[in-house]
Amino acid sequence: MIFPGKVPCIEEGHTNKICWLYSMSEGDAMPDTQDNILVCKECSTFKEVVNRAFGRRDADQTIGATIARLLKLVADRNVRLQRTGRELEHKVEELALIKTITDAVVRTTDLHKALRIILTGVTSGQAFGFNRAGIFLVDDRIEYLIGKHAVGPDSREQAINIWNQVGSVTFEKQIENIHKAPEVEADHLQKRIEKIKIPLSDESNIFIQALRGGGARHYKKDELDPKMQKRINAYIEFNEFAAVPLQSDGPPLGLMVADNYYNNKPITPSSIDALQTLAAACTNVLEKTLLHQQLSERLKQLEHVNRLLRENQSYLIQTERLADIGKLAATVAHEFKTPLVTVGGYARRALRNINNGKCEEKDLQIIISEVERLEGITAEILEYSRQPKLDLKPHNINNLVEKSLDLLGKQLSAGRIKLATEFTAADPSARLDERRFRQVVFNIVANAIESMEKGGVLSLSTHIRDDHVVLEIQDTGCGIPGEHHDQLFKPFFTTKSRGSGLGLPISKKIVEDHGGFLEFESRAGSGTRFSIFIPLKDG
Amino acid sequence: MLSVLLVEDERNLLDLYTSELQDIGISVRPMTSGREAIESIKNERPDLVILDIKLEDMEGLQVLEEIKAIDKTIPVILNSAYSVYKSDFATWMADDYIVKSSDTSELINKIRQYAVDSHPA
Repeated sequence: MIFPGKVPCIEEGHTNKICWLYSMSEGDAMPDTQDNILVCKECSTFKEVVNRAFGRRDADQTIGATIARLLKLVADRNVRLQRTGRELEHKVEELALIKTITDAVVRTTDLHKALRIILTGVTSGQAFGFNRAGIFLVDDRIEYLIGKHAVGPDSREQAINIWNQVGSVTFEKQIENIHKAPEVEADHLQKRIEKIKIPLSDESNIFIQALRGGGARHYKKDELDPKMQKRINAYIEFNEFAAVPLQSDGPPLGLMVADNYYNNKPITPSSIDALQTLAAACTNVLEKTLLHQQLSERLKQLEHVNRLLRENQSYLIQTERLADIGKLAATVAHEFKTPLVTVGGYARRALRNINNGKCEEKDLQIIISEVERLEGITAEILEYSRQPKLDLKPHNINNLVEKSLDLLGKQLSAGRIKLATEFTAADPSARLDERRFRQVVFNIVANAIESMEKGGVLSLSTHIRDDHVVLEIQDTGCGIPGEHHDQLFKPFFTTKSRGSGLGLPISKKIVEDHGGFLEFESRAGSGTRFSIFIPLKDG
Repeated sequence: MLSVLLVEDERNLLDLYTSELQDIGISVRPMTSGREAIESIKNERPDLVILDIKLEDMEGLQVLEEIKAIDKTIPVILNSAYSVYKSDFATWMADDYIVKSSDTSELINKIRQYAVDSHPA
C-alpha cells in the first residue's frame, strides 16, 4: 500500500473510477457512493486485504462493519504517523537548538559564559524547557567534582515572573545577551551550586556514580537513601532530577543535571534523551573552551612571571651596575694604593737621607717609575671613559695591520712565535682613526703573544664579508676558559698580575665607535681567535 | 740580630722595606713568592714574618696557615693594602695586622715590639 498519488480501479469496466483503498492512505476523501462500494465488494485486491487484515472468520461480516473497522485501522495508523511526524519535527527542532547552543558556545572563550549558554538552552521554554539546570566539572588537580554553574529561578514566584518575561525574548536573543554581558552575575542558585564540592573518591555519592556511569540517570527523591536525600537537601530542595555525564572519548569532563522543581512536570525519558544529546554535543566544544581557559590562565601566569622577571632584571642590572661601579672604584683604589705607598715610602726615605748625604738616586728613580705607572693607569681609565672623537680617514686595513706588525717583530722572535699573514686581494678600505685602530690591533696581538708563553703561531688574515672588512687575529696559545667569556669585556677584569683589565674593553669600544663589532672564539688550551668587523668605506 | 722574613710581591715596595729595616739593624730575608717563603722557613726559622695578603703565586692567608702549621710560635704580621681583612676571621691566626702605608714607622714599631718579646733583655 505504498503507491503514491491517485490509483485507478483495476476491475474491468470500472477503470474510470479511483481505487479509494489505495488512494486513502494519501489522505483522500472517503468514498460516498453506492457504486464505489459495490465495485469494491467484487474487487479481488479488496478481498485479499480484508482477508489479510481480519482473517477468514471475519470475511463474512457485513461489508459496512468491515469498512468501518478498516477505516479505524487506517485512522489509527494516521494518528501514529502524525505523532511520529511530530516527534521527528520535534527532534529536528531539538537538533537545530543544539546546533544553536553549540555554535554559541564555540563563539565564547569564557567558560562561565559557555556554561550559561548551555544551561539557558536546557531551561529555555523554546528549547528543552527544564525549570533548573546545573553543570559540575571535574577538577583533576584536586580530584573533586565541583559545582560550576546553574541557571534557574530561586523560587516559584520568581519562576512565574521569569516565564512571563522570557516569553517575549527569543532564545537567540538570550544567547546574544549572555555574549554581550561583561561578566556573568552570580545569583542565588549560582552561589549555592558553587558551594558543592564532591571528592571523586566518594563512590557512594550519586553524583559521582552518575559521573562515572557513562549514561543518563533519573533520580527520584523517594528512591534515594535518606542520607543522600539529606546531603542534597543541604544545598538545594528537589523532588526528582536527571543527570547526564559530559563525556566524549576520554574520562568524563563533568555532569549536567536538570529538574522541574517549580512546575513539577514529570521528567520524561524523551526529555532525558534530549538532555543526553545536548550533553554529547556540548562536551567537545566545552573541552575546547576548558583548554582555552587553561591556556589563558597559563598565559596569565607566564605574563605575571615575565613581568616579575623584567622587574627583577632591571633591578639586577641596576644592582650589577652599582656593583660594577663599586668594583671599579675598589680596583682603581687598589691599583693606586701600592704605587702610592711605594712612592710615599721612598719620598720619606729620600727626605730623611737628604740631610745625611745618604739619599740614593735609585730611590728617586723608583719614585719616578711608580708615578709613571700611576699615570699609565690614569690614562687608560680616561681612554675608557672618554667620549669618542674619531679622526676618520679612508685607510687600507692591510696596510695598517702590516705597519702594526713591524713594531712587534722583536717581541715575536723573543717569544719564539711564528707569524702567518693572509691578506685579502680585494680592497679592504674603511674609514678609520688610524691611531685607535692600531691600538686595537696592538691590544689583541699583545694578548695573543702573552697567551703563547712557550711559543706558537700568530695568524692574521683579512677578508671581506658582506659589507664589512674582517680582520682575524688567531693564536695557538692557552685559550680563555669558558667561565671567563662573559667577563672578558668588563672593565678591570684581568687574569694577569699587572694587567689593567682595560685592554679588551677599550678595544671593543673603539671598534664599536667605528660602527663595527668584535667577536671571539676560544677554548682553554686550544687558542683564541678574535674577529674585528669594520664597515667597508661606502662609495 | 733580629731576623725578619719579608714577603711582598711588589718589587719596589719589597726593596723599600728591606732598606728601611736594614737601616735599623734588622737582618732581612726578602721574598716575592709565598711558596719560596714557606720553603725558606722550613730551612731556617726567622724571628718574625711580615706577610702581604695578595701575592702573585698564592693567597697570603694560605701562606699564613702553612707557616703556622710548620711552627706556630713564629709571629706573623700581616701587611696589607686592605683594611677590610682586619675584621676577617681568617686573619685572626696572624699575630698582628697593619695597613700598608708610605709611613713605615708603624711597621718598625711593631717589629721592635716583637724584638723585645723574642729577645728579652
